[in-house]
Amino acid sequence: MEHAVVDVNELSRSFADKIALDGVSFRATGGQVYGLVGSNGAGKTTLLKHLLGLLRATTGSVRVFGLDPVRDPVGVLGRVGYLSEERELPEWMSIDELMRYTQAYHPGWDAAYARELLDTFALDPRKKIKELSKGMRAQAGLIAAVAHRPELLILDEPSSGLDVVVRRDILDAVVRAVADDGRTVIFSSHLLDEVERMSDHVTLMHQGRVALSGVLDDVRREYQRSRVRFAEHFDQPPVIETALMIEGGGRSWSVVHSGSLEQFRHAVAARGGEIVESRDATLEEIFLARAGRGRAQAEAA
Amino acid sequence: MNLRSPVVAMLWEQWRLTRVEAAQRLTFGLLAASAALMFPSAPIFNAATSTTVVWILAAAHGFFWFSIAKLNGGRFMDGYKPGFPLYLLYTRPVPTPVFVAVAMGYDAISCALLYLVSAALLGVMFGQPIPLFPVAAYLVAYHLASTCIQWSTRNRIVQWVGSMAVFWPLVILCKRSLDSPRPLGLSIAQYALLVLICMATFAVTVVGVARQRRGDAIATEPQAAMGTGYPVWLINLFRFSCPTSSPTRAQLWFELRSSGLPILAIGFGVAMLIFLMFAIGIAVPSVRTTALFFGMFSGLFVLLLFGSNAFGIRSKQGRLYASPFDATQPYGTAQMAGLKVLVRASCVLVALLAIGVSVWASSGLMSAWGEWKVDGNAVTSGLMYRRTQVADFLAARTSHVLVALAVVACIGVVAIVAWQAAREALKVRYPRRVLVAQWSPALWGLLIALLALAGNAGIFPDTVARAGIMSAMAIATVALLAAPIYFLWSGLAERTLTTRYAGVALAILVAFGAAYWTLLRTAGEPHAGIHWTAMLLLSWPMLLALLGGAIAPWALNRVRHT
Repeated sequence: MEHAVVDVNELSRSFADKIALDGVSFRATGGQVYGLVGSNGAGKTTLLKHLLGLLRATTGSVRVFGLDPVRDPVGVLGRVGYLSEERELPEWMSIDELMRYTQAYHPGWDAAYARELLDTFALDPRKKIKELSKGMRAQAGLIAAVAHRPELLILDEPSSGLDVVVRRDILDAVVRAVADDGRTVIFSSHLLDEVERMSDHVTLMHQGRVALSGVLDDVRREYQRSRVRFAEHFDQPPVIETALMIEGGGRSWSVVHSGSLEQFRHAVAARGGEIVESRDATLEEIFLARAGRGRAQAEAA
Repeated sequence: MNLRSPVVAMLWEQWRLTRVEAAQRLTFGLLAASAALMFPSAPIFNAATSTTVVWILAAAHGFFWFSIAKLNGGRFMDGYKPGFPLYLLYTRPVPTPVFVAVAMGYDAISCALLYLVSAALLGVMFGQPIPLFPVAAYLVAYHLASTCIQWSTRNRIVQWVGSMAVFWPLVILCKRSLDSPRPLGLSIAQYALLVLICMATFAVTVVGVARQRRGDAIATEPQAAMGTGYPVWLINLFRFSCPTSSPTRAQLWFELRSSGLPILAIGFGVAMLIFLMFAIGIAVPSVRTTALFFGMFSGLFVLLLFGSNAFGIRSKQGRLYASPFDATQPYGTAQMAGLKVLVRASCVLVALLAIGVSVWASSGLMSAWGEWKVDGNAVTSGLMYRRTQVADFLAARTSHVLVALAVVACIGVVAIVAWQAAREALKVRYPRRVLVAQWSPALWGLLIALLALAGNAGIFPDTVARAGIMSAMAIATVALLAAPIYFLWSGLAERTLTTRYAGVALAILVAFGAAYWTLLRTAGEPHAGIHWTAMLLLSWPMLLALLGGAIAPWALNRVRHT
């Protein structure tokens, strides 16, 4: 088995009465981009904070480069680049000071790459962080996170505050470049199209648990969306084996389902129906089926 | 919960924001005033009367608005965020007069009610008539006027000057009416004046807030977080390049730029101000009292205010947290804690030194004040005599005693800074336990003081008070011994403490111990036949310094890895 950059085992964490993480296991290897998706409060940021040692594991274990990030923060953080969701940077610093300050902690700082990114983002190094917009702060934070060529890049909602051009062209390129160098990227996002575009692996979190995890292409192949027509009229969504989300009404229903298409065809036929059309489900459809209201409907049905 | 109207919702929000503090202030006021009424002959109460009780209660409830501002992320005299003191800013769909009336009304009426409850309760308990409505009317007027000054403008000079202009006349007016032969009532004219003040301040606030709300006046940007550091203009007074050669140098640069040098600048500013005030006092006698007050207490103020929160704990709408920027730097926790505490303590020390030198030099100017009497007492000659005494005391010490004194003072400041840093950090993780830990010694001390006073007054036998004092000291000493052992063990077990940190801390402690012992021997302590409780007391500074060194990295570790 390939050596894991990140190895999380049965990690649980509660804040007062709320269970933020419930037996989460997660593994990341080199040269891959891992996308974490999930609704608000699903536990994405909590998981990332555990990887950085900002939260200590109360149950289960967290290893980054084989080290415990709480017991050995220097060993872990020296090899990690991190962009926080809050973009909380010292407001009194200029961008240049931020770069120099970060450089002091990372002997592998690539000044030429930092300058290139500053030019790409059109950031004035003399500007104070206080004077930057939210998007510009994210850009400055991103440069500080990647310019030391970290072995592991952790981005918490990196698109937040970035305009669509920067998001599509620059963020994607930066993330891809890191992965192509054989390093690892883990990022969380609400934007499913972004996760679909950037990730090699996807992990769907729901209510503190990993609802789904795997190679993106495999995940997509495993789920289909089929349009189904029944001879009988249904007032309520019909019960169909392997169905995760059912929408529609009367005789015509649209179903997101897992497993093989043949198995689903048999299940539909058993209810007196037939598949009219079928295709691979999008990540958004899978997400809604696994974490959204559709799942509750299917379960209720 | 179903809140029936926007006004009810806003009132509910205010209640949620202030209820804990209201309870604390009520408790403090009742305890302190009860002590004053139970032991009127105690020196600190200066023959307590109902007037003393009024001042104690007014002090307990007088600055209610100030803490509401803090709760909302506002900074004192620094322009509040729009919508102060409510969270949801100016977006509430209510007319401006209603918005202002709810905020100001709650603020003023709640503190007046707290006063009324306390005063009425004490009056019934102790059978002493305590003025109710006149003082409550003053409190209402004071709160409305203060809020008006702070809220209707964001001009800092207007806020500073306005606050002083509001505070002193109302205090003097209140004092006169309490000192008058008919202390329990206000005349119709006085009530009318207070009502007029309330109406005028409300109207001015509505106008000011309306201008901010529609964008005609500058409203401060919503300040999401507090404790983010000193003003950028002050930090940028000192610009020098960040070294990139090592993390320690970069961290040192960060600490100096972000807090150390601004504190030095403030310290030197205060030092110059003290000298200036003493100099002005030569020509303007009315400045002398303020100059003396400033000279006496500014050092303590600088130590407690600027020596606090060395770990840079922030607050966002009441939630405390450590800066993720600091926490994610690849730097050892013990090293980070040590560096932050030492830089902060060094800068505070230099600021204190500047203030001390200024006070000493300024006090020389008192000879030029001439004969200055307050209440028939010759103040100048008395102070000059004290100055000579201090000079004689220092001149009589040998050089090694003076060095020991300096070492104890310096390490004492480091310990105070470490303690305060640890306290702020632990409040993030263990807010209730810290609250209990903070209040326990105070309440225990109050109980002991009451026991002692009761013993003196013959209410309880002396032995009860003595047993209480001895047991308290024994428990505290055991706690002071056990706590550092636990923190050191825990720090080593969690790999927070490094041998380097432990070595430096040990060296500092040994230096402190040697200097402290030198001072004790000079003072003739511990002498033969000393009581064991006195021995315990003498050991406390050592134990407190040890605990400060052990708890600071442990506390930072707890907030860095929550």
